[in-house]
Amino acid sequence: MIESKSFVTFEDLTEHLIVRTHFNPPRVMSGRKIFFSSFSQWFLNFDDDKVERDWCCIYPDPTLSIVYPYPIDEIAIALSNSKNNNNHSDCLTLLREFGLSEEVVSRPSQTLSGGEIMLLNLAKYSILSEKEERIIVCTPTQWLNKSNYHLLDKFFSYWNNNGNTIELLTLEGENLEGNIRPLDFLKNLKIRLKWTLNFSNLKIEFPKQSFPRPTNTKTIKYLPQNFSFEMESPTLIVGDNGIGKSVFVKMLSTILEPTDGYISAISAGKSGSGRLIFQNNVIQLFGENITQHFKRVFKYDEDKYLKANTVFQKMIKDFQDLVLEDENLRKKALIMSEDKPPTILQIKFALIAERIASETSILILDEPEWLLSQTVTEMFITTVINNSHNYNIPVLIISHLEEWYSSVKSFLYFEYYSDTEVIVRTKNLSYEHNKN
Amino acid sequence: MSIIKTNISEVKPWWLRLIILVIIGLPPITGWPINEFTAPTGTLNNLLIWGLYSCFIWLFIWINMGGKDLLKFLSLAFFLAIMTAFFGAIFRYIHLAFSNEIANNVEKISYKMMNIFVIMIAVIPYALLFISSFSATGLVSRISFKKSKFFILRLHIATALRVIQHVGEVTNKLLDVWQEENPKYILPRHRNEMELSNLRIINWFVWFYYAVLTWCFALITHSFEVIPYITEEMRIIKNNRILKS
Repeated sequence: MIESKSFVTFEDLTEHLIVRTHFNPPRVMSGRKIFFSSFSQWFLNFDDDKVERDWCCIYPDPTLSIVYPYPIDEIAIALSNSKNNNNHSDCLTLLREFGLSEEVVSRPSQTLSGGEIMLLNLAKYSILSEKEERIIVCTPTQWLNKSNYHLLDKFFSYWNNNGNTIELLTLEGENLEGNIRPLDFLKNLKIRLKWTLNFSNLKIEFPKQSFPRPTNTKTIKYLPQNFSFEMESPTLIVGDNGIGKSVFVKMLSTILEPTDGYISAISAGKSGSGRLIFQNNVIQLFGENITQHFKRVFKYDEDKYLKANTVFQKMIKDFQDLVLEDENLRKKALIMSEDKPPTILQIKFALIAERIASETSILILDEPEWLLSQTVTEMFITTVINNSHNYNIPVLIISHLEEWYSSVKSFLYFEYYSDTEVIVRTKNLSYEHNKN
Repeated sequence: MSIIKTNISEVKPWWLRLIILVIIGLPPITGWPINEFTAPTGTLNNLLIWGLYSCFIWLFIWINMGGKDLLKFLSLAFFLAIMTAFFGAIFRYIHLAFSNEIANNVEKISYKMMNIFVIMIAVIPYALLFISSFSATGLVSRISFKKSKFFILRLHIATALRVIQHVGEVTNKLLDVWQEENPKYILPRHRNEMELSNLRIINWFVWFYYAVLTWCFALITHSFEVIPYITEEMRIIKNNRILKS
């Protein structure tokens, strides 16, 4: 039996989860002070024997449900819970069933992409359907590519066949059936902006490891060999889970260094690298609250500090203006006052403001809709693009929710060409084309 | 060197692995046998002996884990050792300066700090090797279905081991975040005023001090963040293996 519940904000979803499970872990996004006080509260109140649990959960951040260092360990332990044996080949068969190849599962879990982590969760918790009575699954489509939705159905059937209950907690706009409303952010787009992506002989190699377990070398070569293409901002990157989209943008933002070749973005006549907002972007605050973060990052650049604050306040105001038009959202606490822990939305705005103030060549958003409902994403993306374009900074978005972004004009499609090669195809639509 | 194919993490049973690692780590744990050859007051001889021991530890890690991991461990060890020796020396000098005993103790402090430095560059890589050599997964999967007096203890040890190992994973993630924020690692991205100032070195030290503090807090918070979730996982194991078996 599937019990579905949809929420307009992540904070509402979290509140429901706490009431439902009585599990209230401390959150880093609240800032150090609140984190440590709620951690000590959790620690002092934790009683292993008293609390009865009748649930297991795939959390909104599925990396938190992954406990062991290697994917195969997750499955082996889950199997040993129910069968008292954990045959290696059984583990591999199950992982393959959930779309995870032998190459993927030989890598440490922390190197897997977000989508692969979600698939690993599905594989792990499908085993527990034999022993547990109830599973809570949070926001699965925010991690999975559409081509993997059938694996979610497979996961549900494991739980249904055992007569158990599935609680599906989603954010408004998540839809497994495919009836998706496109985001309508272009009607409010004030400035049009073009940029050029260049790369040549681009290749990255992740070396093999020998300790504690051997792993193979992983190579991704991006085709065509020489790529130079002018695109419209915002540009959308689309591709399968684990294909190398995040690796690509990490090279564009100089977090990873290509083993071979180069990559750059040209905008407003200058060539350079980008600044990236990760999918799980709470970690980018480095455990600080927004005020502490701005103060540290801009300690020696007062001008940029003021600029970042101005952009941040302007984005919050623009967003609130859009919210006023929506009767449902008006009542929601999407933006908190300074003395309260920030919402996920405020954190996203703060990180983006810091990047706009740094005058980057391109602003890259990896799955910006993470932990946001569709309506909120629409307003959030509109606000970000307008403010970024005001400073001549184009926006590049990674998302597997292609339908949400169907009004975007420029696309980069990532497709497998061979085991180690990924081909990047482009599509540019004119505004006239889209109007028709 | 391809002939040598040793991996301490594969030595079985686990207690044999533990014994080997404890024997290798005897000098920092008990002081023996290095103390037999060193003088209590601290001489160049001590530094040489601890230096030799460090080389032995590095060689052992290199054979087991390879050059890349050894370099990672060494960069952390050298960073922490330099920080400890540098700030340790400053605080000691300041303390002695107030009691007017500095003239007689300068040499002593230098030796003491160098000794600490050499010991740290041996002990930190050793500790990291030790932690990486044991698997929390192995420990959990060996827990029997029947309730035994060691069941809860083993779950607690597995949780602690996994949290300690998780620090390494958090470090890797934070390194990505830090590099995105500060591409030159030891210089802030936004440093216009620092570069124009006459006090740029002092400003850099202040920035560096806050950077270290930020790193420490971020490491602690993000490592602690997973503890409740790991605990929930252990609760699933306990439920399934004791209550439902």
